Amino acid sequence: MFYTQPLAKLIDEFQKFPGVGPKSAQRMAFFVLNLPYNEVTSLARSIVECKEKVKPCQNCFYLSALNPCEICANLRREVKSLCVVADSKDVIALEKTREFRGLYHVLNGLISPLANIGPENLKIHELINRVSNGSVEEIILAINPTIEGDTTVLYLNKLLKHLNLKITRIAFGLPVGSDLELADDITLVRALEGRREVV
Amino acid sequence: MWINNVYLKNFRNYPELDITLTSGANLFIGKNAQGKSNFLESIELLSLGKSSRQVSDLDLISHNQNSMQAETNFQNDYNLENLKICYEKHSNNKVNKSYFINGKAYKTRKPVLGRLLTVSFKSQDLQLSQNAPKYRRDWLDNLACLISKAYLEIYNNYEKIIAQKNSLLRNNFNSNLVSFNDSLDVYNQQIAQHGAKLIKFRLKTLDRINQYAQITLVNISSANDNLIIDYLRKSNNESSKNNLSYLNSVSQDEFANLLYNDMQTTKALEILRKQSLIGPHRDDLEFIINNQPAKGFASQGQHRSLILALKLAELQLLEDKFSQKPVLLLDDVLAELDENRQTELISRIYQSCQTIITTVNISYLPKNLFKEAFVFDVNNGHITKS
Repeated sequence: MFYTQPLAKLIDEFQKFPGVGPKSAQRMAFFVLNLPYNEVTSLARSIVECKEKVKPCQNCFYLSALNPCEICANLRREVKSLCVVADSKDVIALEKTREFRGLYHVLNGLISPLANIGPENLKIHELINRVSNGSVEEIILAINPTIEGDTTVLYLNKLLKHLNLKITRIAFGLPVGSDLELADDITLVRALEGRREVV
Repeated sequence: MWINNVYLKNFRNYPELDITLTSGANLFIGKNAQGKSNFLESIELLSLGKSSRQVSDLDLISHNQNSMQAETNFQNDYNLENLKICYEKHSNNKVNKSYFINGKAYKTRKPVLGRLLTVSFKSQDLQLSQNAPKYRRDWLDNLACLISKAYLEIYNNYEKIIAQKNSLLRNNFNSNLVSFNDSLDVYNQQIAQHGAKLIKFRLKTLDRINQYAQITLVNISSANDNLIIDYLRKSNNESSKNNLSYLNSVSQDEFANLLYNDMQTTKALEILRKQSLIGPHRDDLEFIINNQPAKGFASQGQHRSLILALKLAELQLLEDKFSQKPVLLLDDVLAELDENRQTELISRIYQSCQTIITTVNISYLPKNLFKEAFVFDVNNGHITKS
């Protein structure tokens, strides 16, 4: 290639990032070359430090530098409601709302035999252990309305229903502030199924 | 509705093609393996958003090329529309597909469906009533997708669940028996739910086709033949009733229960065979002429009349549904029909339906077809008007 060897290597590494193609990778590599030396070392150090320190929390498997994580350690949060999500990114999305005051449980994926992910590969066993100790009263499943999501919800429901807990799944339907006529059929059907009485 | 022109670039054996068609009959004449069917395939691609052949997306791109483009301008009753589909070869042999409707880009084929209406009749379609069940399911599914886009969604979801369940059965996950059984049961529940929806939809479509096919068959065959397309639900319970009037009376929830119970009893066999054996992906259609299944009893001539009746029914159904006359694509099929059936088919062409016909030899075609027709020569990826 036209690149000198260390540069080619860096471009290759950047290309491994999600959503980054050859051109973006090249732009990023040249950006790094133009940075002052101390900023480059700071960047490299943050990558390594992040990898070393950020680990899944022992309770909820949310990625955090603390163990237990900031959310689990917060005594003001309600232990009686537990929100089950697929991914740490979902926790961040829900936390941004500042609406939910309970605790989380991150599954680390959804059941998908095609991708070789079975229930054993997810933190389902840990979820059962966690709710069996009795302090949890409601489980909220905040899981995407996809085939894999539906499968995982059905599976969890199978395992959890005999524990006499309230199990709910978040509602699906129209995005707030959107227009009925712009919604697609499937979303509208879901929204109709999940309708509520006006109070 | 009629196609004004078709533009192809690096599509199969066409390096570049820009061709203008007439709103009546268009004849494409050429020897074998010159690209006649490829040309019709490109029109079907623009109509369905995917190839009608069972091939990988990669095959549509010419050898040693990285991208392919198919574009058409067509006239419907209201205005001139433009459709464009581009396939781009990506690293690790994946294909990036983009769809354009009147210049606006889309990422899925869903918006393309139902824009350019076509009915294709290929010589291999003549085998439909005798071929493997998959061909009959595909025929019904493709038609149902054209009629309702909601079906496409239901169908895609169902396919995803089946793929997941098959993968579960094949890989047996670390052989943890409890979680394996639980996962399998979860998939069975989902197949029952989504499968019931799928079957209901297929039955509804079949009901409409049946209304049309009966009339068209009588028009073709001089004998007063009676045609019913029946739905055969695969069930492990041999004695279960499976005729159309019974199935139509079953509600969606009841279908879900039937499917679920069937899967429960077939579970052991499914695990053994590592395949999902129950569900609409295993169902079949049966063509019944005068109360006898066509597969065992119909003559070759009756089979041909049957398929022709189906195609004409398809044409009429789409026309009534969309208030537009679809474009008729005839791939090497006129020569296979006798004079009566040719006349019936050609009378449709004169009912202002744009028709694109391919044939090896011009003498196979009835003479009266040539009035006002455009005739093209197809020669190794190049088409010239003669």
